[in-house]
Amino acid sequence: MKRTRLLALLAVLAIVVAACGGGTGDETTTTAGTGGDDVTTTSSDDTTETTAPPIGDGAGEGGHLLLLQWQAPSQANPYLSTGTKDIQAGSMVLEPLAEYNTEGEIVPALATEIPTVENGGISEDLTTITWTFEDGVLWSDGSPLTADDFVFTWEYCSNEETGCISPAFTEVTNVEAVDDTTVTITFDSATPWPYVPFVGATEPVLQRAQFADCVGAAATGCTDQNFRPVGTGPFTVTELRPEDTVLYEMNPNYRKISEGKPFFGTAEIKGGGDAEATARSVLEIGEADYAWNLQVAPEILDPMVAAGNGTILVGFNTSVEHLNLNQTDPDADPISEYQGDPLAPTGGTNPFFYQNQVLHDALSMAINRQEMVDVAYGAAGEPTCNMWPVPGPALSTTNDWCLTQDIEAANALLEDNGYVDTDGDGVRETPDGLPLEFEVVTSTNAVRQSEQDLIAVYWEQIGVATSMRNEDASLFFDGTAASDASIWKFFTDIELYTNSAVGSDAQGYFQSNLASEVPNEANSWGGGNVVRLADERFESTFQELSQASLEDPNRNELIKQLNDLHTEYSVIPLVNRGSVSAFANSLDGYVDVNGWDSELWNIEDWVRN
Amino acid sequence: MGRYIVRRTLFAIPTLVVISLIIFAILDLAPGDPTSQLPLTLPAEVRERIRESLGFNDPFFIRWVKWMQLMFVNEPLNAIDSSFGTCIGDCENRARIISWSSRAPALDIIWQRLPQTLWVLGIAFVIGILIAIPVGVYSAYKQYSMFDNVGTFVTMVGFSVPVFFTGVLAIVIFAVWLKWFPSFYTTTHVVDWTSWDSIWFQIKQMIMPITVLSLFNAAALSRFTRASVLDNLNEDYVRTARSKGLRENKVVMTHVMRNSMIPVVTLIALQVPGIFAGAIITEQIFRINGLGQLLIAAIGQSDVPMVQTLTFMFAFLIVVFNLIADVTYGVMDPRIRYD
Repeated sequence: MKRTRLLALLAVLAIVVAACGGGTGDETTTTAGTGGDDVTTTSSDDTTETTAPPIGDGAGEGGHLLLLQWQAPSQANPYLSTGTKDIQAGSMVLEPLAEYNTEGEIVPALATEIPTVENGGISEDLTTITWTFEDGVLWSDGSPLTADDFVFTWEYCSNEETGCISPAFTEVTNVEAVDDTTVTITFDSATPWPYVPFVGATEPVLQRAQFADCVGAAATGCTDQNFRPVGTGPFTVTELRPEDTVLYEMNPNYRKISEGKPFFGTAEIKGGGDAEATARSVLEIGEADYAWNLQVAPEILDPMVAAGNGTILVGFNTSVEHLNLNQTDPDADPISEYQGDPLAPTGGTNPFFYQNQVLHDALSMAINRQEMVDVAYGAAGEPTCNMWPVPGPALSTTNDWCLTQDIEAANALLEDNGYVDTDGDGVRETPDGLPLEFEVVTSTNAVRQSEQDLIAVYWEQIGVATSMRNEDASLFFDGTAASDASIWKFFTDIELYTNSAVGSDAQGYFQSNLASEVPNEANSWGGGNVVRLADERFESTFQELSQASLEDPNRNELIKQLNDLHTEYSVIPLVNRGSVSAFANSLDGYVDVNGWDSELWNIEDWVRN
Repeated sequence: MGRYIVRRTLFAIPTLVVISLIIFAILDLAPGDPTSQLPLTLPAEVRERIRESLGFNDPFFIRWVKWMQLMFVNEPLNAIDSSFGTCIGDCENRARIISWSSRAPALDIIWQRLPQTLWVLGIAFVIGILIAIPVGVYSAYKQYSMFDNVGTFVTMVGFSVPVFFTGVLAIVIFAVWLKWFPSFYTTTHVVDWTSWDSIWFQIKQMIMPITVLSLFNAAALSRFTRASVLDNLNEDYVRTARSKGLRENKVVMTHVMRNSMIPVVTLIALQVPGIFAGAIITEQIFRINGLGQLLIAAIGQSDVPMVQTLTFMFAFLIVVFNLIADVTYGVMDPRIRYD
């Protein structure tokens, strides 16, 4: 009977281990010294279909909120995060002084008002900014929030060994607690845009009492703190399982409880699967309330919306999908590097694209951006001709000719400038006889591959031959020196990807395109000027902008000029990409998708009808 | 047999060391940046700082030796301490293998995920066996009958149709149209064995993935069982047993089964590590967030310590279950003698 015994043993073993494991389902990760976790509330019971109407205006009586993020959070400390998924998880709990609203404007969060030069919050010489926050704000453990916590957060992030991902404090020399509710931040030089430290979900305040032992190299070992940070926000983390789920419950010490906020008593961010599956859960099945980052083709997403359980909303910011035309030569030695000073190079310039507006305009004119949006993005994209696409007084209109595809004009432009097909193979050559054959590289992604297909077809019609390649995102966006496929090395002719700015700071955005930011071997491919733009006019215009004060009306003009110089010959903007999220019909109060900050920035206002 | 086991175990140790070196080397040579998922707006100095703080830039050999020490000394000590509440050595400050993306000890995360992997995949595996063996035996016994032909057809289909198709189909039918079952698995649901609702919720969320997986497992195993039983049904001892006057039931269930199960049990033992590696695709589709999904997520984020730990764990399980399979084979078949 050994056979049956063995089989029976195997079966029993599997069930016993599973049962033991399942029973103690919340074996969370803890460091030595921290207690075990209490059992968490289960998320099973409340679904969107069966919640009872709220009982009065009491906070926390609205039941359970189920949020789906297909990229699951790894931990909840935004300063150590590996992506937006973690920042969103943290934003339910942690708060900054100010945040971005859906229009890209900075509005107070913990602070009482936004400091400006007029109200004396920013010093005349633009080197200090003073924030005041409300009195009586408590951390979720009941202790009071003081200015010292902000000082501590700065110490935490500016310690090199912590591995803090935020660049906000690199130019800050001091953060001082003037009194219990006032903080003064000092920069190392005049900073016209000081709204970076403590603004946005990436820069919240951490509690000194909790994180005191987590500064520097010790930051990595602070699992409990990173998973369950103490915050001033509407929720607290009850349990966090990395790459899986985060469970929250209402913060009993939240300052807006008297207003009945937050509406929900418990919440959950459930991760896993892919974007399509999360969209299906909200829109077709109605088993969840919100799905984030729906990078799904419109032909799949639109029928789901028709099911009638939810809506899709798009939040736009500065993300622009664009083509980089390599200004350096990927075939020269050294590859993709200027020889000498980028502003006056002795060699290494790209024989096709270097400061060549004619070729750039022809390539841009040939692209049908609206078709690209219809095929690949649907509601999540808008055609654009600008790298700074934000609606408002700083939006340039000089490039809008690109919105209309004009193959004839493109062909004419090339013919008139000596780009003729001399050998009859359908591919034009430059006046020097080099055939217009380019390699276009992007990340592996269905949307991007369909963009590549369209571009290949458009450019074929103007006599430009292309070969398309794609690389895995982890290699394409690999910032170390190890990956030869990275966007920074640019060992190819043309790249396709999305760039975006930090918040709504145009100056900071264009700063990364200065000649001093060109990536090369010497700086370990670390510069932000990936396309290797090196233009005297750009440099001097940027200088002007950096010296203009925030209230100077000329700033908008300068931003437009920088945008135009940037897009003149080196980049071809294609689509302004928005973040797409799905909301259940029973949900309200979210207003819109916030493309500038965490989409859960106003989670305390979310209610269920 | 005892000597054989000891000898195999001793051989396993250098095998595992070499495996760990190979895994380490491959992952080290592969390009991959733990900061690749961070916003592009991040300046290079900040990225470099992060990599430094993760230990990314240390030379290969140092990292391997450190990892070996953590994996073979620190982690077992930690496991003993947390299971038995002891404190061996410097238990407060003992270093552990840390995942780069969550900055938490890798083995804690793995341990946290075992329940869902075992619940769903373990049960699917067991059910697969429970379906496959009777079906295989009966198909062989009544070879070319209607049962056998239908069984052959169904198992061929079950084996050929990929899990990502049947899984999504099941979701569309049962979750979208009929709304009987949830389309995703809630890992935080703690089963309260006294509450029927709680148990029913767990069953409901497991039914679809288990059905999909067990059909797939059963298909392969039932073919194998059938072949094995067919081999044995034509043996002389079966004819002898029948002519002795034994009941058919006893002939098949006792004598034939015993012999047929030898290769089948070996095969099952070899498939057990597969439970832990997880049915990666099924876990993705149903959002079960088990070990397979963890591996994929870690690879995508270039979380090298997590990938190393997981792949080494799977290698360890394969080595161990290979040994178990060989030993089981020797135990079940008296003709086999290891020495």
